[in-house]
Amino acid sequence: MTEASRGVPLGVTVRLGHAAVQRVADASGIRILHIKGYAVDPEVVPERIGTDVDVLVDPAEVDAFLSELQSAGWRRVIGFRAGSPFGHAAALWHQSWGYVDVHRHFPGIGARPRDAFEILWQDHRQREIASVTCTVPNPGAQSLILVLNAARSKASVPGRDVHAAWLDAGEARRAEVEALVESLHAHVAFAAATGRLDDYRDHREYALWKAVSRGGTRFEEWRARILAAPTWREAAHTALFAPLVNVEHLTVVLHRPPTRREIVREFLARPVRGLREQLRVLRNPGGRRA
Amino acid sequence: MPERYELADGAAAVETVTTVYAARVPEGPVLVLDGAAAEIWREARADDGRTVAERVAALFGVPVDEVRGDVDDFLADACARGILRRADR
Repeated sequence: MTEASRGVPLGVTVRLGHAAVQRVADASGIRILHIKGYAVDPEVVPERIGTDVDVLVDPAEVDAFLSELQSAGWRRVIGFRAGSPFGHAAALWHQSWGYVDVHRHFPGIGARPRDAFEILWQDHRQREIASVTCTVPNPGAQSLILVLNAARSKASVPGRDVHAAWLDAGEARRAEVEALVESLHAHVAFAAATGRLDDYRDHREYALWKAVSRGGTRFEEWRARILAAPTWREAAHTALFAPLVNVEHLTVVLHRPPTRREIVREFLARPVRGLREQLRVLRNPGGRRA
Repeated sequence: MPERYELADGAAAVETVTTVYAARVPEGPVLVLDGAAAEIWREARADDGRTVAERVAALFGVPVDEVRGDVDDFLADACARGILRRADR
């Protein structure tokens, strides 16, 4: 019996990571749902693998859970605002268990995070991962989450998840998914993943899902984020802070904290990059994906 | 006397065809069991009224006395590291 210093297969590390994260949740009494990757039931997508651990956390306990993870050896790598236009997940890293993405809500679910979590939790299931009982959404909710996740993939054709979880699913499963689309207010993102986004052309989230599902320039994404904000305060916050330098992201890119000079250089470079992208599109409108 | 072990509370394990990876979670580290150690792990968790050493001896086709010391050492080590515990007591 030897202690592994390296060479543990990624699939093993991730499954042990699920177990480790569940133990932290159990010890602190915080409700979490493992989503995607190894948490997916084979009846939803056969033999799905994962490269990190993803968990949706009771929104009221997100800060407490992050604190518990950090006490147990995880290090915060990317914060919520820095991770994506949706500000939905923070990434943490552990020397033995790799990455965990802690979701405070899931992109595409329009219901209030607290309400959405309760809907998912009330009929959750248990799944053994690395011989530890982990809490997961029911198969219908797993299917919906995979489809919503695919809406951000910028894939031109539906991928394996969308096929298994929706296109090739049986009637009963599709009915479960459709009921959840209703109760979780996930219509726009679901339409983006299933090729019916233009049905929602007048919805405030339309431009954002068009940008994330089909690709767009930085300016288009920034404008779409402002339009999609549910309140004017959030719209103003996005307008003000989106163009600023994402120091956490820069830290990941550089593999070290950026210097003040590098932050200033990036502050000046971002608008120029965005402008170049926009000009490229204007000069060559047919050169991007529809 | 029948003998059976199970995963200890607070432990996790992933078994592949050739190797067992076990750990205390979330503390770690990952312990790698391959070769004979992986086979003893699997036999320790079986339940057929025999001792673990008897099952391992039968698996390798050798006398029980030849393997008993190594098997007992492995089981004591695994229990001390908190990845296995005796289930039949």
